Amino acid sequence: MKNDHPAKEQISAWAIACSLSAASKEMIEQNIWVQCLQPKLQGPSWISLTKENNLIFSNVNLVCVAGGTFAIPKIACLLKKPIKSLGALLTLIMIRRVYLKKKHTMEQVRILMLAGLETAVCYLNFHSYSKSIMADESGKIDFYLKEEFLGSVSCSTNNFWQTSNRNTQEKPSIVVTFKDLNTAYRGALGKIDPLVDAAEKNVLIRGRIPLIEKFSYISRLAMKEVPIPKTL
Amino acid sequence: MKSNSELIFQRAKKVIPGGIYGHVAPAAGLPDCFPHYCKKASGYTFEDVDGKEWIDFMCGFGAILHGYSNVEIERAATIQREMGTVFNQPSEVMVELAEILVQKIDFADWAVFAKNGSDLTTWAIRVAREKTKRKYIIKAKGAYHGVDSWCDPGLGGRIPSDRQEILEFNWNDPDHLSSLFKKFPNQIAAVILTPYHHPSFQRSELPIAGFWEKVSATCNKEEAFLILDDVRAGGRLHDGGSHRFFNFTPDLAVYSKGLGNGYAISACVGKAEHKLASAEVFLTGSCWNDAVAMAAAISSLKISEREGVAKQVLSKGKYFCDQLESVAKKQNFPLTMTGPSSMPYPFIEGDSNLFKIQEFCRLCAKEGLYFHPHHNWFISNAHTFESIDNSILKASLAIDNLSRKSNLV
Repeated sequence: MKNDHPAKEQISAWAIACSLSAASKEMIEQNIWVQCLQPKLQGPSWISLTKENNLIFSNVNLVCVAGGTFAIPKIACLLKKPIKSLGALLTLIMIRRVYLKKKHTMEQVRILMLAGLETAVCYLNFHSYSKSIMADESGKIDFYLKEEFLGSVSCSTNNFWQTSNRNTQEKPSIVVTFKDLNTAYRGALGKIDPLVDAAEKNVLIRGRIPLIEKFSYISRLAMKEVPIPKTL
Repeated sequence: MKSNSELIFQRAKKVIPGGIYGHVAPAAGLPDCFPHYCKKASGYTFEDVDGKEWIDFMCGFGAILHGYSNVEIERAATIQREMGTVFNQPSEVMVELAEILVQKIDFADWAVFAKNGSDLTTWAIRVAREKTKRKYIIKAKGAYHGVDSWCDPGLGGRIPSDRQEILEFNWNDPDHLSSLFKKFPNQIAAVILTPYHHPSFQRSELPIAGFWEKVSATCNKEEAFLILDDVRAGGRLHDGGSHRFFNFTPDLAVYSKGLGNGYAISACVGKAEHKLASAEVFLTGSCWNDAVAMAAAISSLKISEREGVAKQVLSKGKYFCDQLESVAKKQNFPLTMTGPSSMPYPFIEGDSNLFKIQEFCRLCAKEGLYFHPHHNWFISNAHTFESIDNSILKASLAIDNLSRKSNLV
């Protein structure tokens, strides 16, 4: 995933794929039975969601899948390993259910937060305007729900941004704390109003403000371009 | 129970995008402890809408030079207000204000007026383009020159062409500046700079020895305008403009913040040789002939000259910075006040991510001190040495509290 470089026109589809992958990994961590999605680019128009290339969508269809519309993957690939393909399709359904779950839980927020961060990170790494905004930035952003660590985004030495669900010893440049589940849920979906939510103390931000201003702008930009199940 | 600040904000968010926007947005400061709304202010203090009184060190982000509600300036404004504010024609005070600026500012032969710094920094670069018939403008990286698309620090609403003709060099690196002139020969219309480097979220940087000399020489040699953006510092370093403090001569200079002591006005002054070009660049605004703001500015300039206000605020600022640094040192708190003493920026060693300065300002807020963690502070001429001593005492308590907190990131 890290070494893949999407074409300009497939960034949003690639962001969806990476986001689904992050969600599946976190679900596995939470002992939810899903298949680990490991996306791979298949040229400029197709993306495989699995290591075995048995669930391949066109960019357009993957965007439809994320938006909740029915879309057909490459049938021939699907039939190569039907059981595994079925597992991957079920995983997509399970992820969608997490998004649509009305009663918010810590587990749900953690999955959606990592998926959302992965979407933003994809833009940080591949979207040219977003890259230009972050050109001089580095550091680490930690996200919390009250005292509970949700995830982080950090920039490695080769200027590649990545997400993590592990709370490492590395000192953050910014700590973002959501005051409750609902706010964290909105945060994961890119629905935070940076001015209103900060003023109302729904989100407490400490640290290097310019970094989070840039990150959150890109995150909102990405979330606008990348469809998510319409739950809000 | 919600505070008045919170209640007003709840109304605001319904009818104003973000509730409060721009540099005064709570998100830009410390929303958990700064008030969202102010009720009234006088001298060096203000009262928020919940009745808490603050000792202020932001001075309306620099707009207040002589203290809030200065009696003499308010009287001048009131006299003009009784006659009217905006008319079909400009009023005589506009001419009087231009005459005072031309007399006060050594290189100035003319003056024009608007409302905000941005109005005239943007206009000034257009004058330079008109005169030189060149397209590129050079600015220092990280410098703030206003809210127009060529320079605003925000991220939204931009298109690539907005900054296509804006080049940047590193402050205090005149060789870098020269290299841009070499790269774009006969294409640079102007270099626009603040008198010293005062980016937000970072320590301020004074010009190194020879910086202004080299910048001026380069602009002269290349026949490019040197535009001084004195919007923030004007009146706080030298009563005749900040170029006098650093000993150089710009082609154009823009003033605003301290000029009207809280009344919305900006001015651009320039050399005689640029007067014709300036007349070619259209300039107007709905209320830009506001006679009340001009009367306030005249009064403000007269006070500055009579009382030597720039020297006063530098002197009070030095006392404040020295005392604060001294208290901090005694408590092993590595605080340094950077930039000129009349508008210092606090910097804590090893605090590049700003956690400590935020916590320091948070603790100071509890003591009723309005210290901003991300922007330079301002000293007004209303600050007294007693008020400074009182503030230092409060800051000392905050430092003491801070040193007990060992878990800061």
